[in-house]
Amino acid sequence: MTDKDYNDCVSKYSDDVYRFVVYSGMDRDSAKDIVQDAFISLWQKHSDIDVAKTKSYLFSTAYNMVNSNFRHLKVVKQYEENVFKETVASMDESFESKDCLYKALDNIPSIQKSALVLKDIEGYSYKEISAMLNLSIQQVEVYIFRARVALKKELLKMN
Amino acid sequence: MKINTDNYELYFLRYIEGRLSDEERREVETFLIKHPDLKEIMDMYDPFFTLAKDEELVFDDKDSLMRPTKSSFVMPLWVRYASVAAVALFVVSVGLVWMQRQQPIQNVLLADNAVDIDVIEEKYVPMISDSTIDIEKLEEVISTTRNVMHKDNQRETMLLAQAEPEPVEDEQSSIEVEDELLNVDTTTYIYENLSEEIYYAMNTEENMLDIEEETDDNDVYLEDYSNTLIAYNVGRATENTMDDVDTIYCEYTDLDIDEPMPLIEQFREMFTTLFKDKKEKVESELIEYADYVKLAYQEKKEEISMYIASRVEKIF
Repeated sequence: MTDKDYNDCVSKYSDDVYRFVVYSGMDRDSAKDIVQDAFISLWQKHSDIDVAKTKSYLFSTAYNMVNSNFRHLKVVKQYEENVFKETVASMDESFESKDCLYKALDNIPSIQKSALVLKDIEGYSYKEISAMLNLSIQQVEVYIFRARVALKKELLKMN
Repeated sequence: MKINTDNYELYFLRYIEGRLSDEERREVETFLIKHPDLKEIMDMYDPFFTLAKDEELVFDDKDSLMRPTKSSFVMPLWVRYASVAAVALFVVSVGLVWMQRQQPIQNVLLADNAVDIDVIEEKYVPMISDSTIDIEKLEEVISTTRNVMHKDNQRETMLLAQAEPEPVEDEQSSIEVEDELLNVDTTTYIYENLSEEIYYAMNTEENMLDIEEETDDNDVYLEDYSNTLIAYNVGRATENTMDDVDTIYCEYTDLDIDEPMPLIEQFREMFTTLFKDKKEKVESELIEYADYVKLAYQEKKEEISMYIASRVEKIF
């Protein structure tokens, strides 16, 4: 992958990866950090990565980063719940889930959201999603089924 | 593997997406009778209830990710400002020079003893006495000048009109065009015929050799497959959808998706050959189908929606 290929990837895919990360439940500042880290990772491995697979590599990397971020946030949150309950409340507010959809998405497990976003917004096939998220095709199908049902339930609840 | 309380979601999804065999569909239906509580979950799943892309959600710091390319030269900011200033200065200078050149002409025109007025406006203005200006004569001059200018303008307009092509669409012609489009047979026949043609071409004895014995299910599969191929080739299904269909096909026929797939390649190739001759026709049919039928063939709207929904879009 040349510098130009890499820059093309930035132009073409940075919005998609950013959107994917925000939809997956990260606040926008953290999402920007993740996008930057994903592209740094892409560049570090640019000599080994086929240009045709860069987009799925970026999604896969971003997904792993989102997961590790959530694990980290969970630990932080548990700690804060014990010590600073008020801090937790303000932290929750910082999640930018202003409209109903984002609120509804917040209540769905991360892996389901990621699978659904890749299917609905990015248009990937079950097989491609399974490769990106390191799951079997059947698991992807089940997660997408659950995500769609859960999302509908959440939105109905809000209405 | 049969449907049970651990794997029912997978079966529900495939049931709704029309990817189960008849036998499996019956199993699901029996299962739902035994587990009416799970029917609610199935009803809650709507394949058309999908996430939409939030176009406003963009990563606005792309420059920070970009790498300088060898061939590209990044102009420093001060050079850019300097360039803009230089251009502005040039424009102002040219403007000033032009205005200075105009000044003497204006002065001559404003002077009472404007001796050379005939030289300046020779084209339009007849000779005037050089010492005094007769008001009547001046009015006459103005009138003559206006007439000459008006005629020149008319001539220019005519020349322009000749140079530009006549506007093609008047009310009459646009109606004719629209009628032509509306007269196209927008029923599903051509689509279906083509689909059938491809289906039969694919469903020959030779092609069926590698497929398991379950002929009925293969029929259904092949029909869906051919419809998806059509949809794909007229831009109504994506490459990903095709991959999905290929994957499902491989699962169905126990082929390994990662192995070379001569059969699928053969299908695609066969389709391409068949489609090549009719592509234009099918495309135009489907475009009209989508754009005009809604207005002109209201009574067929439901039929069309159902057809598309059941044949193509359910695969999404």
